[in-house]
Amino acid sequence: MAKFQLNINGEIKEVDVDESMPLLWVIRDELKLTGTKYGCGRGLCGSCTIHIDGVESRSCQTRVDFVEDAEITTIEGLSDDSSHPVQKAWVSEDVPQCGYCQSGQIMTAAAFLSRNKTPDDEDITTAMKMNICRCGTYQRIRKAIHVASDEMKNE
Amino acid sequence: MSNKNSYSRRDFLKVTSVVGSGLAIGLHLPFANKLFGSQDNVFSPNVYIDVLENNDIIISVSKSEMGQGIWTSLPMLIAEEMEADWDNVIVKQADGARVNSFFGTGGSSSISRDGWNTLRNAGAVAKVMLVEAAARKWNVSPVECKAINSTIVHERSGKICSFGDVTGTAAKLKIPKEAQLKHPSQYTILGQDFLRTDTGMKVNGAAPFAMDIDLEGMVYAMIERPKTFGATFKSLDDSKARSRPGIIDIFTVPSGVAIVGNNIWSIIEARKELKIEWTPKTPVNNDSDVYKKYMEELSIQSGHPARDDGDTNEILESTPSARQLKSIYDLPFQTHASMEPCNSVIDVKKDFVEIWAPTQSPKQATQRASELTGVPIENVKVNVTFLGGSFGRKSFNDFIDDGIYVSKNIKKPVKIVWSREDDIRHGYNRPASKHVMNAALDENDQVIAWKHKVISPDALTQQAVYQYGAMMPGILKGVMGMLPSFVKKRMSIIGEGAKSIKYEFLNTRIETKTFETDIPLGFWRSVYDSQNAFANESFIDEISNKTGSDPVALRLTHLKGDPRASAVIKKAAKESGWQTKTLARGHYHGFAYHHSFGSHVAEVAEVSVSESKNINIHKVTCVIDCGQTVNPLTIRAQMEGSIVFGISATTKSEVTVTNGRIDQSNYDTFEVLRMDEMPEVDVHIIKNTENPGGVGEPGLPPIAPAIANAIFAATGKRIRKLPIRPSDLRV
Repeated sequence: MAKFQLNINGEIKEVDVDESMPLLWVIRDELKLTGTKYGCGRGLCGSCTIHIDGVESRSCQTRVDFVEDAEITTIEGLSDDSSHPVQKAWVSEDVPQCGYCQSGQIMTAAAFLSRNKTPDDEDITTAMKMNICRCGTYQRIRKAIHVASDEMKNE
Repeated sequence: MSNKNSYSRRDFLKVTSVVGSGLAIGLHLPFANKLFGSQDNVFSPNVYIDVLENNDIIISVSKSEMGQGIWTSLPMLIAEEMEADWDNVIVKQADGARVNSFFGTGGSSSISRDGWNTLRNAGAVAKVMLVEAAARKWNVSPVECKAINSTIVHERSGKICSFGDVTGTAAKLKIPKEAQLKHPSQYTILGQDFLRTDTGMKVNGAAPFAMDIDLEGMVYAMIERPKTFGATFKSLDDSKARSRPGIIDIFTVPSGVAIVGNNIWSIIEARKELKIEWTPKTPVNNDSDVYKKYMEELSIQSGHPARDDGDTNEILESTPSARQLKSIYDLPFQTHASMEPCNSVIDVKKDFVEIWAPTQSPKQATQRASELTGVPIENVKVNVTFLGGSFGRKSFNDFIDDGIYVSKNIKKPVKIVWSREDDIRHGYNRPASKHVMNAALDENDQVIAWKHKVISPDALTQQAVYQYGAMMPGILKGVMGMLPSFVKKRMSIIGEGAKSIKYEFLNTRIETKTFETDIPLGFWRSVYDSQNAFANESFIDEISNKTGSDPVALRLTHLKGDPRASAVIKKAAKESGWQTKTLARGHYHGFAYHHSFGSHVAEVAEVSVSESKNINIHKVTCVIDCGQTVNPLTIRAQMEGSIVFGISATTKSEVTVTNGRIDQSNYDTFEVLRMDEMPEVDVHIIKNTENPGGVGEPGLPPIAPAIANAIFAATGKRIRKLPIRPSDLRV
């Protein structure tokens, strides 16, 4: 066990956990930020995607001792009021079905769009293909990313 | 108002503020109590509707929301008949005693079988009573008043009041059993695109899933289950695991060994140190190869006649072999692999049990908790959380059993989490099946006899249905406890989608042959229709190839008595450009149609096969006739989702079993469709006012044969085994 100071969603939080604990479980079980989901535990599905220094990252594959100096953002910190263009597009395009994978989908899309504000279909596929949605919302995800991109371009 | 597909800031605020996420799952009771205020002024004509003085209309959803959109479509049924302003509607999950009056969710029946009449009537009754209350207040006749947009209007006097203004009076009126329903031509809500009511909380992490529940003093647990199916516990060396930090206790439960700790990570790590010996069970078809061989033996025996119209066997015997066709199709086991693994939060107290679970079968969970704890049923509260996908898996409550045993033992609330590996290795699989098809043709190449022998075990073979509940497909409702008919039902269920084939052939014989296996079986999206439709629709394509007829024309020839089926097929041909559109070089169309769960669906897959035999699915055109539509936006989503789920099972995934253990364990070995292989899906809905059919499942059965038929068109290679592997196309 060891104490870590984490910069998460703009706040400093102290946790006392095993240094090998993946960030996913620190976020969920210790910090009670439950929007980040456990899906596979092996970095295969993307449900646990968060931002580390603005880059989409698998929290299930990231040890807590690896991120002490990093800025961590979870779905709860993406915006205060669901006003991020990606979140708004997810609403307007009626994307989620069960919703379980969508935090990870949204975090992946938001990080990717911050680097590429005018993606084409192929860019979107490359960015999103590591996130599984078993309900099959891919077509609406693609559309919503275009909608979000249009809004971000005009900002 | 009428077009919810056009997005406004108002919609956005509404969708994102409906949260009350605590309310949604019955948490934060003080808030709920405050909300409902003094009971006198809440108008609750039935278990679905509470109208508050402030004009809020709280609609309780009695079905499990697993992505299919019933949090939107069921309230729409009520709002339509109630003349509610959709902006006043707040949706919550039915909780507490209310949840116990509902059997479960499944069989694509939430609207088609359960909600359509009940909920429209519930809304109509509420409206009649509110109108009556206003009429009394104004001392006028209720027939002179009408309800519109959550208000009641008396046109002659110009009087107007809101629903909220008369809740107190309405609450004192006698509740009529039934009320006049609207004519479909008067609908302003049903049939319109409405944005989902649960999206707001699904884009900001607030949506309550069971795994997100946190209770005072709660501990965590995982269960190490037997290595092979049916094995029983023999011995345990937990000395190393116990000494690890964060581990509280380790003990056996009926499903295996429970390991309890302060957090999931400690448990995951400590689990690796457990040394458990299991006593294996005498195996019964517990290996894919053994099971397949056994199906082969059964395939040459005659089966139970599940349907026998005409003289199929005699005609097949007397028809020369040149005018016969025979094919055998094989389908694999499939598992659900929903993104949310099984989990639950359970608090067993001395005289009260509370459960938070993503279950399709809350009533069974309530009864079971009472049986296992001795706590009377009225002191068991089941909170149905959102389901992070289910597809049939969470109709079995084994993951709730785990928590009941653990919480009872350690006397603390517990959160049970299954790892992805637990979830895939210990699911309830769609059985692997074999289909022997025979057809006889007359001299004009018309099909005069059709025989389909289905060889498959059935989910009823096992105890899971009885032990862990499950909403069963239509035919099984009420079968529990009816032992004399049990064997017949077992024989019958595996024929679903084979017996009910819509094509008319003069002579049709469907045989079923079921058998025992240790491999746990369950209900997988669209159940046996997923297998039987593949055989039906591939075989029809083979016949059209043999006779040189167009696959669409051949289908229509045999559907003369079914205008709805014919219309769906014709529209799919038209919208896809079947035989008319020039497709990109190397692209080919494949066609399939199937009727299941009360809905007709036709799908056209546009496919190309690369030189290295990789299969590319470019586009799927889908046409559905599900009768009167409720929320077309959801119907399209369900078609898109069923097609994705079905493609995974056609070209990506299968479950195999070696000596009583499933070989797959995570998304690397059980691969599912990802964005890079997602085709364009183009959905068309035929509008009519027929009774509504289901939409959660019927989009799935046609996709596998549509793809296989397109591959035949592209390569001349007939697909008779799923999943389709590039290596199968190279031979």
